[in-house]
Amino acid sequence: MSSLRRFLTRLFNSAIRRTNDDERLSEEIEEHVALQTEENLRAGLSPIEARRQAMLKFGGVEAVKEDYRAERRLPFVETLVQDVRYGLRTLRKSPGFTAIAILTLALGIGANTAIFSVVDAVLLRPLAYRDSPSLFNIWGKFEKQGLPILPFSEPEYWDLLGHNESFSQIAAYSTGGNANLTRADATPLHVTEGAATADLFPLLGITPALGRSFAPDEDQPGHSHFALLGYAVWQSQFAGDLNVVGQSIHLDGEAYTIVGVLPKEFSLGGKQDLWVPLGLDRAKPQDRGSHYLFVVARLKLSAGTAQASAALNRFVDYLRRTYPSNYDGEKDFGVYLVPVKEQLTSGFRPALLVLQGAVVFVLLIACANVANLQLAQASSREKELAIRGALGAGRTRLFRQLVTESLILALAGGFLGLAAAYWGVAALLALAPANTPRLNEVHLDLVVLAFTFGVSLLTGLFFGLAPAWHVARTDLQAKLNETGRGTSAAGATQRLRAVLVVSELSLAVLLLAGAGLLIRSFNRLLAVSPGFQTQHMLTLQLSLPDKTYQDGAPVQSFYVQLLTRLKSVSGIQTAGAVSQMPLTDSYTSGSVFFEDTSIPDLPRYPGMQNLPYMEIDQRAATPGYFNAMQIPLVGGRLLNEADNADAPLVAVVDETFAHRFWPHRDAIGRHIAIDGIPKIKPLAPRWRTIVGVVGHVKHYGLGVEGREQIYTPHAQPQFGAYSPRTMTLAVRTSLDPASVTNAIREQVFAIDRDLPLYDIATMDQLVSVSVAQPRLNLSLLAAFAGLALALAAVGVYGVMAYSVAQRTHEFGIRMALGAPPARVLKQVLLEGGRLTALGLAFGLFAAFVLTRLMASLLFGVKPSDPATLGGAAALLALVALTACYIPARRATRIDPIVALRYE
Amino acid sequence: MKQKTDVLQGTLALMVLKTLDVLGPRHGYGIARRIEQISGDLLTVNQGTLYPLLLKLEQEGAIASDWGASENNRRARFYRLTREGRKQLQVETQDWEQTAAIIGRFFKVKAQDVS
Repeated sequence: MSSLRRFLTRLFNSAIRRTNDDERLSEEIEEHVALQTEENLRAGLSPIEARRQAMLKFGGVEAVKEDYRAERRLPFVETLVQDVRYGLRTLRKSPGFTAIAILTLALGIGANTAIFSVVDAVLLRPLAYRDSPSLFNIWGKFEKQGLPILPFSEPEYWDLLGHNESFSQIAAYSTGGNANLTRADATPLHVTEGAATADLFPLLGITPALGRSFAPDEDQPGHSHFALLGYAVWQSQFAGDLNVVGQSIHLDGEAYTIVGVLPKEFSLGGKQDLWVPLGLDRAKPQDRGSHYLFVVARLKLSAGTAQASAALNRFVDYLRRTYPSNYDGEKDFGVYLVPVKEQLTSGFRPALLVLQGAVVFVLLIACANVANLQLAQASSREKELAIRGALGAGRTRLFRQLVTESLILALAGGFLGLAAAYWGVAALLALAPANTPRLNEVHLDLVVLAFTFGVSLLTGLFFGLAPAWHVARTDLQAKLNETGRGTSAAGATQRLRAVLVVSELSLAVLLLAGAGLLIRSFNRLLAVSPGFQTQHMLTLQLSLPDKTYQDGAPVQSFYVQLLTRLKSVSGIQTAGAVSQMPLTDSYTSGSVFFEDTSIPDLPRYPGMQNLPYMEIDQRAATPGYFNAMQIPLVGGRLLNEADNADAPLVAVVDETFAHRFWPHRDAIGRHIAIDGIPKIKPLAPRWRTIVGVVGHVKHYGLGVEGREQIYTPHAQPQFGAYSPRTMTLAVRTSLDPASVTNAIREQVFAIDRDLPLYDIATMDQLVSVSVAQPRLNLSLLAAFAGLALALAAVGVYGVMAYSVAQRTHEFGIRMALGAPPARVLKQVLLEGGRLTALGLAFGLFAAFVLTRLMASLLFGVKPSDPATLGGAAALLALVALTACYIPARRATRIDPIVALRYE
Repeated sequence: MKQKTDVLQGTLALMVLKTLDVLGPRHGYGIARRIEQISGDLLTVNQGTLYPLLLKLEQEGAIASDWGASENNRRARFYRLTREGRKQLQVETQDWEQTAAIIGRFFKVKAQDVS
């Protein structure tokens, strides 16, 4: 206790400088000696002797004072305070150096802080679920059929529940639902809808912000009209009404009761406006082949992932044994688990890590630059340091002083960097594509602050240690004796600076190479033809509720009617509709069965007459779709108005399809089936004739080849009497596409006042959104590389300029002796060139090794692409040599007379 | 920081506390005189070392100080024991007596007593 109190008092005294403390001691000493002197006088000594004896008895006054001072404060803190104060004064004396150093560091530290805050939020922090590491997604797969990740079907889900060994809870949900939300006195609103089993929210540990989640009896077939509002919709549509629980809303015309509001940070990847219960009917499950349920499970405390995987394999064996017709004997089917966090973030991991790596390199370059500045600064301070040394400052003390100054710079840089990061993060969030997970969790919190502080300290040590060690090591005696400008000792300094510059240049080459690769990838990506025209295209979605539009004819005739109306709208050239628009994250695929049993390597489906089949992307389209999108016809004919419910069933396939299954023969006229004849058991194929072949469309993004595609006429129902209710209109316009939006809306409203149009976007916008992620990666890396290049150029310039200034004398003599300026110029350039060449060599080697790590971010370019690496090297060489040229020129202009007098 | 040997420091501190306990508030010179009188030559030289020690005790909270008037009516710093210091003195006196007793017994022991 008492020692703590003493420590705190001393710390306090160190922090607060009081001037009267020394006086107090002096006064006490004086009084002490005076009293002793009087005592001695009384003992009969002469006045002079009395005082002398008193002083002797007291002992060394200075030593006492020193002990007293040491006792009053903490000597360590005392020195630190002194060093800081002295450091601040020194830094103030050279404001240019200080400002440049702090700014350089602020850029480096700020970039690191900004990127780290995203890395921390997206990759490092646990998900906002209870005990999230024990949460897993469970997936099925048919790898050979090109289905590496497959949701569960209802019967599979029930089977999984029945065979659960290693999970304490299992829940399911589906996304991608749509509904028209109508309320009294509010315009109809299209909402995206998630559907979940009642146990999903308790499993995740989600507590609603308001109300509660679904009760088990609200998740029953025929009794599931309850809704959980998403936070955003609650805010925007219900104005954050606290009394919203218990209110009634209409979804597609049916009444639902609101039971609660989900918390702000809740997200399962994707944006659901609201959630409803799945209401699965265990007695009457959907088809075993209809995979639409996402399964989440919490691992039992006692179970490990290996154990769980083994149990899932036993589950697969059970399914294969029990339903051989569904899970073919080729051992293609499998079930596996993925940690929920990995599922959510793995797609963003490589880019984030590459960017974090890049900013670390930028910071290293900044460190090298500041170290260089400090070395230059230190050489002009050599005399000062030598004098301090001569006055008794030990080497450690000088070293400490210099490191303290570096730390002051670094912390100031860190502080400014934090401000920069604040804006940087805001900008990043604005630029980041909407599908980036966990963006709402990105803030500058304590973890990030600690990171910034740590990085600042490390930075300070990193750039401060080398110069400090270097300066403290040099022979101070020699320095004092030195008369002219530094000659011999400057050699070592110059070597250290050269090493720093070469490192900077190598890192800059590395970053330039990385940015170059992304730029080339991006250009390659944009040069990819999506398989359709993107200009003058408007896309709009609408969805017909099943309450007002029954399956089949009503749905079909709505779209026929709407598209006929659109033809007469001025500004619209052609219009069509498709069930899944390319580049919109919406797709369906399903089995396609072949009448032609000679196609090699296809699995057979025992449930459908043992026919060969394959998983293929399937779309329903109206006749005008191909013209509107300008998807080229390769052979046969397009769909037309005659392909209606009464006509023979037809389909159009894409080139990839035709080429894969009939590489040397014509696909036209062949029979395929996507479903069976209704009400016939066992299943018999409902054959369709292929009437045309069209070009392949890049459905999943410009950089993704995608599966084979078939199109069926929207007017010819599938799976019984079904035609897709949700369609995307593709409208080709003669004017600005956005200008016809209102006209289209009027036409829709003329047919049905309650139908909202949503996801309205021009095709150019869809393309732009689809490349948002690579564009952001590219912009950031290019910015960092530019920063690196600029810093490296400044570094080279600094070293060369200093080198020339140091040798003014030498150049002067040489030119006085007749050396032509061109020769001096050449010499300086050669020196700079040597540094640059070394930097290039190391940098290219590093690039060769490290760019491999970004392979997954590249498109159409190899990580070691020679043209890109060469280009990066050339750019850097050009910039570096330009930076050398300026001081080299200066060297040639040295006036020998001035140089010789220069001292 | 120069450090006296721990024993000397510890003993000196104990002597200061005891002095203040017995005599009441005293200035530095008074404390030094008292210790000199009782301990003989321990403090005849280097009386100044007392002052850093007084400061240490003060910073630990064992003693407190105030300005007052000395015998010759000049300003002097008077030290007094705090309640905490009194407690500390008690504890340390006990410790010291215990230690002294043990050491004393050790010195009395003769070789034949051990065998």
